[in-house]
Amino acid sequence: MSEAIPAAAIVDPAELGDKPVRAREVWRSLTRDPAALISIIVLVLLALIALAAPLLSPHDPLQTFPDQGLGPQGQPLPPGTPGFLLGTDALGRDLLSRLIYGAQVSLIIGIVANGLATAFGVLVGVVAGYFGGVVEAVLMRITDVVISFPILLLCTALIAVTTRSTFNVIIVIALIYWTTLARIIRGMVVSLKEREFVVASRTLGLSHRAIMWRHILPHLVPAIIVYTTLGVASSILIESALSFLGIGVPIPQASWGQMISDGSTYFQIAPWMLFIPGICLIVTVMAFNLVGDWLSDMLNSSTPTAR
Amino acid sequence: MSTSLLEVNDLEVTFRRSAGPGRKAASVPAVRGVSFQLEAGTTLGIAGESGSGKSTIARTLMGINTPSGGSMNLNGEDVTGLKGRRLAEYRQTMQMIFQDPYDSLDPRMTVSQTLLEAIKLRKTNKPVSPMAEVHELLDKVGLSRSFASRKPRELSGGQRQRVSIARALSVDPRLILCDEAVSALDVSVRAQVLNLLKDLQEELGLAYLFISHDLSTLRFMADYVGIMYLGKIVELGTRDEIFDRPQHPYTRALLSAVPEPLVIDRTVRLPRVRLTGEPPSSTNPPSGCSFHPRCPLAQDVCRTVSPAARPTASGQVAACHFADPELVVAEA
Repeated sequence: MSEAIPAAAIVDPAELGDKPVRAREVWRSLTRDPAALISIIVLVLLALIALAAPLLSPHDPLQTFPDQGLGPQGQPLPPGTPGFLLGTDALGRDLLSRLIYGAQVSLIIGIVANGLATAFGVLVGVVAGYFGGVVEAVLMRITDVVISFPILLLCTALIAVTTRSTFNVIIVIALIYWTTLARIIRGMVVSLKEREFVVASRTLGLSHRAIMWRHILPHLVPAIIVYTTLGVASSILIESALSFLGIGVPIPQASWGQMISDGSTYFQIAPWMLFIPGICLIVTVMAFNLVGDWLSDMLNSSTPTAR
Repeated sequence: MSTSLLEVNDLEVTFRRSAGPGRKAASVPAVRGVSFQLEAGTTLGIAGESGSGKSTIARTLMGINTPSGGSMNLNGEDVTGLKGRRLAEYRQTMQMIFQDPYDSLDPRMTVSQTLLEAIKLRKTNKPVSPMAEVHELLDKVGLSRSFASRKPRELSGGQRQRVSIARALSVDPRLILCDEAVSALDVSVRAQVLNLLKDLQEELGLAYLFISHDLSTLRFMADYVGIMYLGKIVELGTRDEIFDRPQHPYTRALLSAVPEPLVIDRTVRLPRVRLTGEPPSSTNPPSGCSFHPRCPLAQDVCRTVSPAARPTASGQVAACHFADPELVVAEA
């Protein structure tokens, strides 16, 4: 008979609902929102390009071509030059290759940094909201302190005391971006924990950890998905800003912010050096934002728990 | 020692509100010295207006709120202020059915997931075959086994409440606290759920603490009835004592407010007592008898002296200076 229901099913917080219905709903809502559909396609393509960077890029992104890569006066070559599809930069490096590897850096930083920030923010928010009292007061005051700093200033200060590396950029961004989510999640948990089904599981003797894991976290998933998606965009932007200021990923590694920074110096003779990475950055950030908006609309309208 | 399943003595619960922008610190005495006993297999009904402290009693018994005074004894053991594992164990002797059937089940879990979770938490008599127990529980509450795989949103209010009952039963409680458990249901469904609760009581020897503002529900369910006003039990007696020979003017007022056909045949027709005004603020209860500002019988003594609960000639206990049978007869 229905003995088939596995015991593990109880603890699976990922089970959001009836899957078949969901897939159809998702598709229907996507067809109603072409901007989101295009954004998803753009992001998938971008991810594939970043993953296949070694296969796709025509040159080594770090290699300079002092002879073929620069014009007679040593100026960067414009897009369309044979061998250099998007032209070269001031050191005679292939712009397309740098752009492709830059996508890798941007996505890794955006996703990893933001993933860490999300995990930390959710943890702080759930613990503060669930336990309340002193725990909440301490955690939320720390959050307030971090929020009150200007982001760029704090990043600069933190990086100034460490060495310049991609890893450190990720950690610094994660250390700053958990705060907003922590606040949002705390607010949701405060109201969730008074819901009767949570009180009921307490009276049954379920442990605090199990309640948070099984009865609270699953209800936060829609919000987490939305804010994480939006957060990736801001993490990519802040990385670019840091690289632009010369404190992001270390030179000579390619990153879009770094390329924009280089390009701004040569704007008058080689505007493509600025525009090409700039357009990539804008498109990517916009795509993440559009997908985030769409997710928020979809999850909020179809989630049965939204009451 | 007494043999009562549950004995509550002088229970007090006070909520404190700390000062904040634009408000002063305040303490709200929600329950002010409540005592009662509950025998195994019987039902104590508690009635009263909103804010009279009915739900606070249930929540305190379950350890959700902390008492500020008094004691609670379960099976002769003092369970006031238990913490951690002891609290978890003691809670399983007692379970609660909540008011809102649309909020008391996790919307993301199927019925069987909800019940399995509860069954696996049982401290005594560890389950051998949990899924078989789920089916057994569904049988007990009159739901077909096909409900096991459904989500709460596919169920009606009455069905959800049955699942809540099944969940409460899954840990083998001796006592179930029903906090307005049928108030949110349609009248026809309400009758079915009440009958189910009665059948389960007979079958399993359960005791109920049945909280309701609906007197006709209590008349049907309860063996004993306590009437609460502003955090105190003002009258406590058997069902017939309370419904047929109410002594406290507040009880009489409540009974007068019930549409007549439902309160059944009365041998003695009681005078109608109409309540006026709002219940006073519990932050600042009136001096003397809390009920005096609204009481038709109030005298000077009521404004200064708080009446002690004392037995009356007709059997029940009432906290009123003028609760004695002669008075009622004289008025009738």
